[in-house]
Amino acid sequence: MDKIMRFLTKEHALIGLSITRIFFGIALLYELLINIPIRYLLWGPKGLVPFAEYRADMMERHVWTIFDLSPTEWMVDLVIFGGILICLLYIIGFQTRIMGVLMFVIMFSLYMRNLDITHGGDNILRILLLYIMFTSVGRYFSVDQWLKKRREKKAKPPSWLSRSQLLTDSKAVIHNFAWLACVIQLVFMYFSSGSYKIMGSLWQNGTGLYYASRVQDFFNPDLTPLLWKSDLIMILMSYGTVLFQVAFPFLLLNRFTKYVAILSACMLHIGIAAFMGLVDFSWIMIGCEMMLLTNTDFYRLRDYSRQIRKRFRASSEQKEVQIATTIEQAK
Amino acid sequence: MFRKKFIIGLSTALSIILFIHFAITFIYLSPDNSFRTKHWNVMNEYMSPFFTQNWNLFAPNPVNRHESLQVRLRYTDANGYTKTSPWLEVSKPIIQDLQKFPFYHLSPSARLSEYLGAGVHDYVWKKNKQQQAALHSLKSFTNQMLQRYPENFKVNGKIDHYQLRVEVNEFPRFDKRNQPDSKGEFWYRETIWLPYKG
Repeated sequence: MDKIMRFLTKEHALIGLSITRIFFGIALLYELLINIPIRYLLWGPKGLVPFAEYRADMMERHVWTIFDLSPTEWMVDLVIFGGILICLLYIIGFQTRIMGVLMFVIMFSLYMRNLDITHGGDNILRILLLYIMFTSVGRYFSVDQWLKKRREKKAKPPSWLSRSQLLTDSKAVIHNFAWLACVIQLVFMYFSSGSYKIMGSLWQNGTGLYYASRVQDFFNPDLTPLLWKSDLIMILMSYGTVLFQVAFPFLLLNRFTKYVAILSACMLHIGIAAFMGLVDFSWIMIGCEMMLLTNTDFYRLRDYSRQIRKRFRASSEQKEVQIATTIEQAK
Repeated sequence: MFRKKFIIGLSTALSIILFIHFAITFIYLSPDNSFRTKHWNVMNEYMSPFFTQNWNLFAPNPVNRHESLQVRLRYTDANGYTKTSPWLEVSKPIIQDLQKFPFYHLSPSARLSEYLGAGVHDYVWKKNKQQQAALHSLKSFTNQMLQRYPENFKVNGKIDHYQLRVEVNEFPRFDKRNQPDSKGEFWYRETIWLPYKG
């Protein structure tokens, strides 16, 4: 029973979720910055979806967003420039919980204001920002944490909120379940996408990747033709994509296969970014993978990289000694 | 003791909530089946708007043709004659802008391409309400382009009507993949002449 209690009241994957926070913050910040020149066209009251049309659609869906506060262009400016500020604060981890809620509000508002310009990356970001709000994403790499440590150094008494054990435990339980929700959602995304592909004749005959990468919207004239050089590689990559997506949930069940799943996912998304130009989508997905790694995984990774560095340093010192000896002998 | 009971109670409640939520999500995402069809309205009501999702990413089959929007303009020239412009590209300049950079979706054109891609595809392949909605999107997009970027659609006169067409290029199939797009088949779907309100 104590073990279960300890497991439930210990916040898991804090480092991974903090990295995910930074990835998500940068993703939304990038979207806001790059679309500044065409913000009125995308989200303005006289843009691609006029305000009256948007409002009628939202009434049907019983949805309200920040854009409903005023059908004017300055409202668009407020969302975009306010959103940029919120993203920056979220990335640096200042008042992270409040910023997390505001990030979701901004993302949801932008998403609903013009549904026709959204893609899979926006979809997963919108859903995960909702779950991630309930996690402690500001525990690492954040100003909040730095301020907390500084307060502790000055030996200031903790607030009544942080003194209440029951509250701290409850917060940890909610964090853990919200994290679990994020992971299950990610699993559903991969599995659903993979199982739909299995039904497609082009993925069945191994040519799915060729057609997906040749369509003008995803075609990179410098790189994509290189992919098509070999039938075998093309076909194997098509099958590999489907196999990976369907196997993803099962690979997470074991520590070592989990590493394979995460590494494969990162490689897949780097490939999609390079060969199909979907950089923003890939960035969000790689950010999602980070939350699958526990703190222990990150410590292991740190120790492993330290070992490699040590070995590298030792071998280079050995080489230097060898060279010095050879020079001396030559003298 | 209270603390233990509370934490176990809270965890049980959250487990039940998550189980129900993801059970609904699982059925919502499953392929068409009788159970899903029967309960679709209830599930959709629950999932919308916060959990709405669709992961048919390049599935079941990826789009395997280029679909581009073109427009031609009917205008009255200085002598009062009604003239028609040649077909002008709407999609291609956006695609060309995207392809300028190695990581070419790092451009505001990416969102425009997303909007246009969905509209063009649905106009050609969907029926009834969805096709009408797609045509509405294409009209809205063209009107915005004509108003915001008139230099791309220059004619010597006042535009009163415009016509849209989607060019579909069935680019070479896998076994002929080294051939250029021009070797593939081309076909078109046109709208009627539409009034331009400028």
